[in-house]
Formats: sequence, C-alpha cells, structure tokens
Amino acid sequence: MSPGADLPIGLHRPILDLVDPRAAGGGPDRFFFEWHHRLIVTGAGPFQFFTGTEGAAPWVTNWQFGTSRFSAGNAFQLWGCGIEFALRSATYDGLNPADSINLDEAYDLMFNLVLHLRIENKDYQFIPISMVPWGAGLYRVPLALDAPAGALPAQAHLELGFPAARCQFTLQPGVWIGPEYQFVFEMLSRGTIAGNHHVRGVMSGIWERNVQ
Amino acid sequence: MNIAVHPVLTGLLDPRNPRIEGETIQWTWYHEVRLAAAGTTTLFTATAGLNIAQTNWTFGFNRFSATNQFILASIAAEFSNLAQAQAAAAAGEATNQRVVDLLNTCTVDLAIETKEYVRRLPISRLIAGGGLFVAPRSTTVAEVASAHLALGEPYPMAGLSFAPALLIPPLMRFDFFVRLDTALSGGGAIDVRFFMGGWWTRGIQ
Repeated sequence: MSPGADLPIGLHRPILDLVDPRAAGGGPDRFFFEWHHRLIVTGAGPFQFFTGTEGAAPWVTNWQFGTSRFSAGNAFQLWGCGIEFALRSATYDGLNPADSINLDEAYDLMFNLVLHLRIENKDYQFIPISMVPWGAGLYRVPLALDAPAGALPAQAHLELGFPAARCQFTLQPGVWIGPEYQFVFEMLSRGTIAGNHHVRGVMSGIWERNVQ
Repeated sequence: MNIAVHPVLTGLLDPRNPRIEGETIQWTWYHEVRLAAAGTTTLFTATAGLNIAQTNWTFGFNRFSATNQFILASIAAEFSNLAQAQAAAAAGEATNQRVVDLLNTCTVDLAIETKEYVRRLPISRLIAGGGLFVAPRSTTVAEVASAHLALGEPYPMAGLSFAPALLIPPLMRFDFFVRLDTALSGGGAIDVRFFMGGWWTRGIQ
C-alpha cells in the first residue's frame, strides 16, 4: 500500500502538534496569539482596550472583533495581560517625539492608574499598574544619550525597562473567554491624567478558532 | 455534552461555570494610607468612598464575607506617590526625608483571630531586593546636582512572604495595622500603599 493511500484526496492529515491551515477538522484551531491595542491615555478615563478599534491602523491594534467580546466561533484562553509605554523618548524630558513618556509621567501613571480585568462580570484583576512591572520597569543610566554633546546637561537618562519595557502579569489560573463572553480590560484613573501618554494593552494566550 | 456548557480545559477558569466549590484566583488586595502623625492605622477598614487607586477592598471591616476566603501568602508596601523634586514636595510625596523618617519609626502588625503572625516588624525589615539608594546625579533640570533619591531598582517594593501561608476563612477577623511611633519630621506626610497577596476563593457554597 502506498503511503497515504488511506487518506482522502484533498485532505491532509495534520502531523501531531502541527496546525494544518487547510484541515477542515472537527475541532477548533488552537495556537498562541497576542492581541494588542494602543490607547492615548489622557483625561479622566476609563481607558478601555479592545473597543472602538474600527479603522485603526495595524500598529494601533490587531483586534478584529467587536467591542470587548470574541465573535461566535472564537474563544481565547487568557493566560497573561500587560501594558507597555508605546511611545518612548530618547531624551529625559520626553520631548522627542512629542507625547512620549518621561520619568515624571511614568511615575504618575504607575501610581494613579489601576489595571482592571473583568470577564462575564467577574473581576480577575484589579490592581495599580505599579504592581505590575516585573523584570523591566523604570531605572536610570548615568549618562545622557543625546547628541550633540552638551545639548543636555549630563543628567541621568530615563531607560524604560531593559531590554524592553513591559508591565505584565500571569493569571493564575488562566481564564477562558468563551465565544461572545463579555470582557473588560481597562485602566481606571485616580484623578485626571494630564498630557497624552501612549499605552499599549496586551492579552496573551491561546486563540481558538472555529469553536463549534 | 450540554450545548450550553463548554468543557473547561485543564488549568483554566470559565467565568460562566457555576462551581460549587468556589473559584480560586491569585489576587492582591491593596489599601493606600497617608501617614503623618504618631499613632496606629488599621488597614482594610473604613474604605468606603475611597477611590480606585486607594483601595480595591470590597468587604467590610477587616474580614471577608461569607462565601469568601483568602490564602494570605505575602504582605507588601510601596510608596505610592514618588517625588521628583526634593524641595517643596506636596503632602504625601515620598521625599528622602519622609522615607527615612518612616523607616526609623514605622512598624507593622498582622493578627488573624487575635493570633499574631507579624508583631511590630519595622518596615525597614520588609525591604528586600528593592529599597532605597541614592543615584549620583539629580534628574531634575532645575535642581542642583545633588544626590537624588531613587526608590528601588528596578522597582521600589517592600514585601514579606509568609512561611507557611495563612488561611483567612470566611468571616474571621484579621488585623493588619501600621504604627508610627513619632510623627514625620517637619510636618511631612507620606502615602504608602499596603498589599495582601495570595489566593482568593469566592463563591464557596
């Protein structure tokens, strides 16, 4: 018998642990995925991710579903959430580019913003974002990295995390966002946030497509 | 398989699944207080009306309601209002002087059902890994190049892990309080956020 003789023509049997994009299997496609949405944080908030994303550019978001829910046939195993400052400055004062983050502003945001995750009306995270930095965070290197030399005083220079600025946490255990489950992933503010701060929210986990 | 109920994959919670034994999640409670005068401040009480950055406590006075319990694995504290400028700092901001005053004079206590599990521990003993150090240069343009307080690297936090962890069952009283022996110098005040980290079980039948 020739290899594959028992396979119907046109249907390739997936190798174990591989996803075959053409396979019309009975179960869902499952693979690691990360959703992101960048918001401009200013004013009183709340600042809710994964809503109002219609027409947004791809560097703003990759969210393709409606407001705060996956459509029928789609589910998400949520294992981690986080944020990052999405517009960094090479200078301490944060002027280049305009609206980029600087040390003062990052401190203000960390202590005045609360990260909130709610799924089907149950809270799974409600915590100041100051509690979320891990591994990365805020620290200073001793020399300004600006050129030309002398343009800035030799001040400590803001470095938002090394190698990458990220504030995130792992849900223990993970939470399943089923098809059309309503979820809210947002930042709430104590008081009014001055200026414009680009913050990207991220949800990491396993996306299930074609959930029957 | 019931059409309306999706089987939960191992290790995941399903928010729509009514568990009889309750749902257990990792959780951190927090309560921010402003410390200034000598005296005792009890945490996780009198939180009604506080804003979301001050507390996420949803229960009554220092106890969990029926059907809720908490495995307390750690406590922690952070200075929740950092100052860039040492001079003319607003009330609540963590300046060098105020932080040092706090380290000199502040202790924490924790008791569950009147059994003490932390007794008069100086807050200076909580600081590990993070903490206080002084960077060599000022990071504020307008100030002189004086030593500048940097509260922790990469992140300021003072914490204590319990070994073993402690169970706070439903309706059992716990007392987590902070005590200042003397007022902060110069009439200063400092905002400190205290945390209880662990595992929250809710919906216990």
